[in-house]
Amino acid sequence: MASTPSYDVRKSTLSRLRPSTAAGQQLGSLPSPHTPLSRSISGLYGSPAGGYRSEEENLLVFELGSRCMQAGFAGESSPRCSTKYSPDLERRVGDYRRWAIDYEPPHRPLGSGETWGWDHELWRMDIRDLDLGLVEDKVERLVREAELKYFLLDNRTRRVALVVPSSLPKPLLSVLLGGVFNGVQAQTITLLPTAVMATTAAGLRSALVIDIGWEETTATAVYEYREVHQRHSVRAGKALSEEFGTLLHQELRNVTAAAGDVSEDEFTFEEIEEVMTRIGWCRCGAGPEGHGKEIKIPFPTSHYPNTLDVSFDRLSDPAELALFAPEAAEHDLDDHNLPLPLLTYDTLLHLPVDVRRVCMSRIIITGGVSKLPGIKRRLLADLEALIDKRGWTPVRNYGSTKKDPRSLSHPSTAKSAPISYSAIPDDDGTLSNSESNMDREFDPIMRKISQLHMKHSPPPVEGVIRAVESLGAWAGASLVVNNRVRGVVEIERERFLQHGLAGASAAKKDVSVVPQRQSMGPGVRGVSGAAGERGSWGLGVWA
Amino acid sequence: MATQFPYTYYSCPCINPTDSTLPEQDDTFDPSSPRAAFSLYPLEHLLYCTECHQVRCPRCTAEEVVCWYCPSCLFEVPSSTVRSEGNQCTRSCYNCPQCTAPLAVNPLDPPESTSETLTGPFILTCPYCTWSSLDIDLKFDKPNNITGQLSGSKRPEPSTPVDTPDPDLSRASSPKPDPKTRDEVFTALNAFYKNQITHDVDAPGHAFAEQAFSSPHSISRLLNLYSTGKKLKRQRPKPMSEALTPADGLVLFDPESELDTIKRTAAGGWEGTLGGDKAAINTEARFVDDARPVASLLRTKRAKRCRACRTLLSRPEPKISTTRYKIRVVAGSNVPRVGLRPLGAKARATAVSGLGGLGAEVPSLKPLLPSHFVLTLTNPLFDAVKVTLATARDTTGPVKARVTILCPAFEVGANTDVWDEALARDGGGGSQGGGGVPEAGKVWERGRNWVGVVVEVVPAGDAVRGEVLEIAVFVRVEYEAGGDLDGAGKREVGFCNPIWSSG
Ligand SMILES: [Zn+2]
Ligand SMILES: [Zn+2]
Ligand SMILES: [Zn+2]
Ligand SMILES: [Zn+2]
Repeated sequence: MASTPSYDVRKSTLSRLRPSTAAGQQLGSLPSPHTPLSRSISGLYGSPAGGYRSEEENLLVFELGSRCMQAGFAGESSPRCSTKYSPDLERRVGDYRRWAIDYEPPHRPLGSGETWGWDHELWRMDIRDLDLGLVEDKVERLVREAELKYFLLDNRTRRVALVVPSSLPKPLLSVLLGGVFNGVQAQTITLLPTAVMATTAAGLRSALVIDIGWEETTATAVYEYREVHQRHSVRAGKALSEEFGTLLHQELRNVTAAAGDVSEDEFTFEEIEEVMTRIGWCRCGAGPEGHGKEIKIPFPTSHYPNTLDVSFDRLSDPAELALFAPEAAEHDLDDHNLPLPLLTYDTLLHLPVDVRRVCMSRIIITGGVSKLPGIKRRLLADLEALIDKRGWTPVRNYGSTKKDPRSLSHPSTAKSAPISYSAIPDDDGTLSNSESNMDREFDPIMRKISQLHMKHSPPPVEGVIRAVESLGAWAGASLVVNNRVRGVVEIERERFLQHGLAGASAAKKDVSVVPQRQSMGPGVRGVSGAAGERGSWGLGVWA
Repeated sequence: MATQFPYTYYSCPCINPTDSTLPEQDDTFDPSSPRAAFSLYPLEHLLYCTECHQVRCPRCTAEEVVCWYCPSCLFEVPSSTVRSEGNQCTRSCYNCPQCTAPLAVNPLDPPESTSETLTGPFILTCPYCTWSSLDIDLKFDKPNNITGQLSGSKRPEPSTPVDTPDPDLSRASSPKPDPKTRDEVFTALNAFYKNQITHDVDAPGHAFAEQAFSSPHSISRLLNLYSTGKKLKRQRPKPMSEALTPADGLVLFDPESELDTIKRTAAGGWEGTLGGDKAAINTEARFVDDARPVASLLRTKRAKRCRACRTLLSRPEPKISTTRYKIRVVAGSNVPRVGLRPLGAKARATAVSGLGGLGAEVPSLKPLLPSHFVLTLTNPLFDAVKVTLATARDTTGPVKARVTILCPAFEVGANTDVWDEALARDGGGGSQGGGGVPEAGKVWERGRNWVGVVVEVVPAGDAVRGEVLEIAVFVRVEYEAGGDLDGAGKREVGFCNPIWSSG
């Protein structure tokens, strides 16, 4: 793929780090022009063959989601900090207004649908009207503030493992990398895919990872540490929090005499989100959990009564509507908005039969919304009901599934005809990206071999629905890095600052057409023993 | 710092790397763009690199920690301890999990008289809210070294890196209870992976045996097992197995645990759960009953260097008790300070910047009516400077207005002797001008090292009331470099923008 102009964004970052003209001329006139920025560092640690020496390095793990950044040290079980993004991040330095006694926060309209919570997002998958430069500014500030408050790093080399979804659009990946490189002055950044890391954090090699995030729920089938299939649904945190907003406003209207006076954004986004995370839950069948109990929710800043009584049962409604949609008619559902059980079922359905048998017994439900109590139980119960009802015959066809169902039942043909997974036809430019994730060579022979080798172990659980708890993608990356496993994609600071992701795209032309293979560039260099120039790096699943 | 209108922000040149010439009228810095917030600073937040002749902001400086200390007990913590124990006070400083106030260590039974020596047990109590460590059944034998006593029982926060036990040992001593907490599961998984990798490397005849852990091949095992194709067939490592038992770190989903959480939520109601920011510091806790005291985070003193040329810009005294600096090159003593005040207001705009309390009188603009302000430039340098100002004709942002600087080019005197002006002012003289009618091309008033020029602002007809007008002003400074440099030097301040408001 030719490098697109959008990656030129990197050039500006490079030059931003340079002194501007006056200084530039001065440096240029020196007899031996030197790269100002990281020379001293690379001089010390430049040896490419050097393995991990964690005593001499700061190994950091960052997980960047669209709403939240988790960051900490490799080898620790939990991140040191977990920062939710808020519009406050955009304040100017030295703006102390919000600490003034008479400060009133600016009124922020809540938005709806797409724009719901917009100003609390760090980024969106749909990058069409995203100011990428602004995203980079924010990431850089988030990362710098995390270092300043939580890491307090000494001057040892900093290496970062960055956990990001494999479906991340490349321009977005580029600005995230730029933000992290500059924010924490990292020497290298290793990219680790979220779903695979969630799998390792469960002690597994294969799993079906249901990541219920903010913007979307992603169902990813991971087989032997590789993402083999992925589907998305917009039924996720964003939709859920909007439903909580609707619920609160309805309840307020019920107790207000002049219900018509209750505007559409009487509650702030923060208040709604707090209700969701503190007392939201998810019901399963006609359970007696609620006991008809009333919850008194205080709203100290509301213009209306300072508390709102909401029945506990009612607080499970938003999850019903936003995530499960039991009443939704079949024709209202498409590939974008499948209810979570159906999304899970569909993902399993589209897997080769023996991959499915492995994955269905290793379901990992993760992501921010997975903390909503009851959601895992409900999702699994609904999934079992679906399987009971429909079995594994791919009769239902949602949207763009074009694949011949026969290839499913004959995985041995998969090699000659690589399974082309139907990527969701995003019109936002992420299509090519997600396609290359999915459209990966699948090698059943290798799988057989691995099974041969496994025969001394107890037989793995297969073919039944079973859910496994994961410590989450952050912890997975922490484990991986702590065990000196080098990432598939390792990006060096100076290469990136000079060439950006375009450097990777250029390098990959002369290697191979299968993305996974180029990504072995950095992975195998130590093995080959050629300790010369560090090989070109590729982008792995992000290519 | 009580701050008032007008306020002034300075834009660090690192936002606009290529261009250091005076921007054209149409090539303007837009203070209302969201990105501008990331490059605008009050002057006090900016340093100055004397090598690059540039203002330096936090984005274009590199930091080095000089020392770590606890802000609560002001004890210094050596870097090795920070590394091993994590970023937290190793003594007794903890914060309330409910309200984040610093917790006090008190005896459980207060002594009858002050003369009695305090006897245990001791508890942590919050002086602001009602929380005490009794709420979570936590008592201490001694009033000091709370951290040590906590880690003796159970760590409040899983902060130290997991020591990976020798895999053989961990296998041998296996009759341990199954891991339950997050920490325990993590430790089990970590040991499991370590064992897997070691096992493989030690296998006889293994191609990579001698390379041990640092061998990057392990990634091909872990993440990329099948992608090397033929190569793998030659040097095929034994595939790693998955965690199969709870001792390996496998945790099966238990629907009962979710049901428990729901029941507890229903029973405890709103008050029983931890709120947003409190949950963030106690990431594992959902309920008030589970919240543990939070160790006080350390702070650092840092030296700052220019990112471009590594020149040291600022280095604090390493002693915790002092706030002094050994070196500190602030922007304020190297670039002109810009101020703005309404014409007619007596006080010269003082060293005020940033946004703060809005108590001060806020002058208001009337649509279509010209208002006049005095823009002052104060020269901190010991040489006279030539200043050229420019501004966009029409402002962007919430208040639209037409802005004209009546006298955009002038000279500002050197900052020779501070006392001269002070004495002169006492005598009633010193500054000249400040009377009559503003006139195009004429300096309004002038002092020893400062100049005031008049700016005319005409708000558009549809100006929004109650919003703040911000004016971006580009300042270019040229000076005659003294001494043995090759003649006339030219120093430029990329652009500053005093930003100013109206009600
Ligand atoms: Zn410099
Ligand atoms: Zn800067
Ligand atoms: Zn302390
Ligand atoms: Zn408290």
